[in-house]
Amino acid sequence: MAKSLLFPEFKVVRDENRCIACQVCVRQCANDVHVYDEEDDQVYSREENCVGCQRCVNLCPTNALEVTKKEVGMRPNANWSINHLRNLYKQAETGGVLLTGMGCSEDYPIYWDHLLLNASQVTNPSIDPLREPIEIKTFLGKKEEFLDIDWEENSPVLKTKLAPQLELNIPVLFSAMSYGSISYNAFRSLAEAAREIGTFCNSGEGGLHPDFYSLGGNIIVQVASGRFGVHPGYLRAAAAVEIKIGQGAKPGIGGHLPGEKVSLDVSRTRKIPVGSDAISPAPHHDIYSIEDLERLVFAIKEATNYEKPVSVKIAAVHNVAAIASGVVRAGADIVAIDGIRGGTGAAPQVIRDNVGIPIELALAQVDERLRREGIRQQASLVIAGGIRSSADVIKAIALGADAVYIGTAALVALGCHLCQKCYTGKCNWGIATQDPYLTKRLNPNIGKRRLVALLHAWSAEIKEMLGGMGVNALESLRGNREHLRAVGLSRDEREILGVKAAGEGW
Amino acid sequence: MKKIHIHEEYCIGCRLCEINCLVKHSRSGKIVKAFRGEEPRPLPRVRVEEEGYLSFALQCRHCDEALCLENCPTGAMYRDEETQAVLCDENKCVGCWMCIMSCPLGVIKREEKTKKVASKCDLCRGETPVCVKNCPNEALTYE
Amino acid sequence: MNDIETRYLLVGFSVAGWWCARTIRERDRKGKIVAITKENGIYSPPLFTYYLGNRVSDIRYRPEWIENLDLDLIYGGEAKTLEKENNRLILSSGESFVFEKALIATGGLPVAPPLPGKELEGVFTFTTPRDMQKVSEFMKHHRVERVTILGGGFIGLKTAEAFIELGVKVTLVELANRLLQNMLDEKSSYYLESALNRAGVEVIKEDTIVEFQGQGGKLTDAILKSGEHLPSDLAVIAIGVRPNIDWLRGSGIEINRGIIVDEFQQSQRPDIFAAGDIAETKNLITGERNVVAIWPEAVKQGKVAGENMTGSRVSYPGSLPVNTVSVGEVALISAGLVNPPLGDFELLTEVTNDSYRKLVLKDGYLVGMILVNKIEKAGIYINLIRQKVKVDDFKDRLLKEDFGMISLPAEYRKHLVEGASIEV
Repeated sequence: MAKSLLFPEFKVVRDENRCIACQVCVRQCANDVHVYDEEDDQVYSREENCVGCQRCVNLCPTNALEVTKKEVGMRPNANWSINHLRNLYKQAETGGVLLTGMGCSEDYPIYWDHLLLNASQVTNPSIDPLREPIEIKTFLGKKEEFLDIDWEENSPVLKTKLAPQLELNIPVLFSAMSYGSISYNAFRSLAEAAREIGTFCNSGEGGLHPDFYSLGGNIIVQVASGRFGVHPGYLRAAAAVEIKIGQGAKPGIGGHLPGEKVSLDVSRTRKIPVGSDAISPAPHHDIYSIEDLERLVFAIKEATNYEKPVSVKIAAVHNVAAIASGVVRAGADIVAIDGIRGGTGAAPQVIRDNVGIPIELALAQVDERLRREGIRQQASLVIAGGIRSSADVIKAIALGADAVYIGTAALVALGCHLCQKCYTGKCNWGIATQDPYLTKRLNPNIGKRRLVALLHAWSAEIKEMLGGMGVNALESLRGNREHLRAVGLSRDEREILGVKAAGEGW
Repeated sequence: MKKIHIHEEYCIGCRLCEINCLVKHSRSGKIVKAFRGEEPRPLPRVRVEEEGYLSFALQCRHCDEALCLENCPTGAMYRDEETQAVLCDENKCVGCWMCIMSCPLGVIKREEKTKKVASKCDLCRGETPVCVKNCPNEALTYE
Repeated sequence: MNDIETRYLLVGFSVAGWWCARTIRERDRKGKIVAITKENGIYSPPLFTYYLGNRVSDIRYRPEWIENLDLDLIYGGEAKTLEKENNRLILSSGESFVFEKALIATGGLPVAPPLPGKELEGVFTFTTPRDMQKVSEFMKHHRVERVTILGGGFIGLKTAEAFIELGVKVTLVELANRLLQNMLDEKSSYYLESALNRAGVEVIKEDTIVEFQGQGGKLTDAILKSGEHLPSDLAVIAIGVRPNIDWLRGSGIEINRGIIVDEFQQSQRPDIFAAGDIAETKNLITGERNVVAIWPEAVKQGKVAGENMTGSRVSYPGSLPVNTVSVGEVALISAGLVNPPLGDFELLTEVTNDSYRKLVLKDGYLVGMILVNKIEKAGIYINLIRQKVKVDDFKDRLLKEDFGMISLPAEYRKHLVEGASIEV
């Protein structure tokens, strides 16, 4: 058998003065990197298997381990990068489509890092968030153009029937991550955190496990092209229904759950056979035009008695603005747009890294187009795809978003170390796996606590930034590009974003 | 009385509880020294039981009706007034192993390497037990 | 003399009496308890041999708890007559007590056959603190280099252990063809004997002492049935104990080998209970009636009696003989039916270089156990025997290295692990 040309990605360095051969690393590595030799009473490491998840480093009681990138001693080549070479060797050996997990990690421009916020000085004072109320509550759903208000006995009464809304205490929701791609405990952490904070999580295309029906008031369920787990009870349990047309990590193709991750429980929730790959088709096979989409949107509204908002999720592609406009006119209450940095449990690497556009640009264009067409208030805009901090959230709102979905950030809060091996089902942190030995590692009590803490911290930071800008309600910031300035961007990019260059005044 | 509660659904079988218990009851109290330097190596008083993917750490339950205490002929097993923990007075213990014979959970061991006395969990003598403190997944709680 | 009236009367106050008193006090804070003991203190009998061997310096049993029990303790009192028609007890001193409920826990007397030469200086039985004092005194004033012990049962072994600590040459004489024949099987008896040999003890089997010879009133030799002469400076008759029931004849209490009691530790007379070495109870496994004179039984029976004397109806599932012996580096624990008769018993055994384990099963239940050296799981097995847990489903895991609570059915395990730790 010919020898593999693949070189280990990571190097495991063990400080022998600290190592006590306690074997915690041996037990905790799902990839069997560490091995205990009883005769020598020593632990050895097999670097070839290491994925760099840092689990062993984190748990080692004497901090004896260091896992770092292994440098390959080939001649430096700006064109033929190590990643390209590795992929070529792999494909020459396996002949397969290379899979990957999480979001695009290539070095494309990150527009959030080129946008800067304003602050108030002298002419209009900033607001102290610790002393004055700052409203960051958000309502997602169709807003009316006119409100019919009557007076009855000297008090105002609203006559217009409002479309169903989702009430959020913070403009951040948890992205769609299916049960199957993530573990039961991870999903529980997200759902319970959403309930405690007063926001929502998204079931993804994996259906909804019956244990979570009681938390349905904080869950948005998805109807994706595979229609996994979709039945009347599923729609009734949720707070809102989202039709998934596309996903930022893999625009144009459907979802993919490898058979290794289809356990008995997952198979029951999705209503598919155990161990079979769950591959969603690329298009919904009953949606081939915008009119078809409108039909499905209203079919769901009928099925849910017009009591729940219907969201449509699309990927950020080249003509995303036109698509978004069509989606709004098709009756969606919420439009969710997912950019190229969006994460996934499994996708072909070549699609994840090369298809789609950054969400910042998509957002700016969609917001502008909808306002120009006079239909911006007919649907809320929620964006996703690599939101990393509360600063990104504020910038997104300034560009026009109503709220933001976080996926990767939430998983990182739960312990994810972005090793990008989710598709193997061997997540050492108990997040992207169905192996019962591994899923125990995520204690939902701890998971929930961490997510709540994260959003608690972000809401404080959001209030700080808003207060600094002299704004005391999120609505005043929404779409207000004047609060942003760009650095290091070309004229074209600034035009697309609709943002002035730093240094330009009002 | 505060007791250690075991949540087997969260135990990941890492055995950090055993390691920290060992260090806590070692002579030096320092992890590398306790493992590599102390001869004989001290024993942990908690043991992780594992079968398939089910695992949990088991230590003395400090039972309200402690059989080890009832059957101890020397009175070495006694109940601490403050913590209500069942402790073994090593000065009185003669190593008759009546306690080992009585404990339905099998959590008492022979501390034979140094002396012939019984060894078991002492609830860390009133402090928050180190097994609880160091469990990375909160599979042991103290309430 | 006037009668002393009391609600509770404990006749004999050793282990069974002590735990009975504790149980009564938990349930009845005020009721008067009179406890009578022959001794001049409250002692822990197993400690006698440890005291002799200089392992402990105090043979009292939990003196720090006595005050809390709020008892009327009478030391040096010997029970003489229990009246048949009345609830009245008379001591040999003439003192008399009238009671509502009584516990007879006067324990056992050493079996001491009328061997010629038994009254020689240097020949002892070893069941009371007085015996121990006598031995200590004797050893202070005489040079003791060779000790002969008659009886290879539990008491004989413990006595041998003590003398080993003192560095004298010990010879153990046993009538049967192996040591502890009721509580061990052949293989484990062999382990025990080897350990004793390594510790310097000579074990003579299938023999017994027929005569003690002396000079000037002091012991010089023990003569065996086989004819062998054992030069001895000190001898201990440690054949066993028998229940101290003679004084109860004519009291209306049914006696066989011991006092016959039902599952509530109640005798034929409903106000009179019995517990400990004097009580004859049903064996948990076989249902046969016998006296099981061991500490855990005394405790359990004392507690049950205490409950029922205070108005409960707590029944006792039956006695289980259990035993732990350690000599040198060898430790043995056995329980239940260790030498099953021919029949449908299943044996699971494991033999290694330095350990031996045997489990006896019948109809899917654990009924007997012997552990040599690998004794850590003894309590788990014994509880499976006591609670009559069906072990069929995990039979193949019983002797595995990692057998533990995790191998047991979840409800049973959770009840033990959590139930025992939930505060009442």
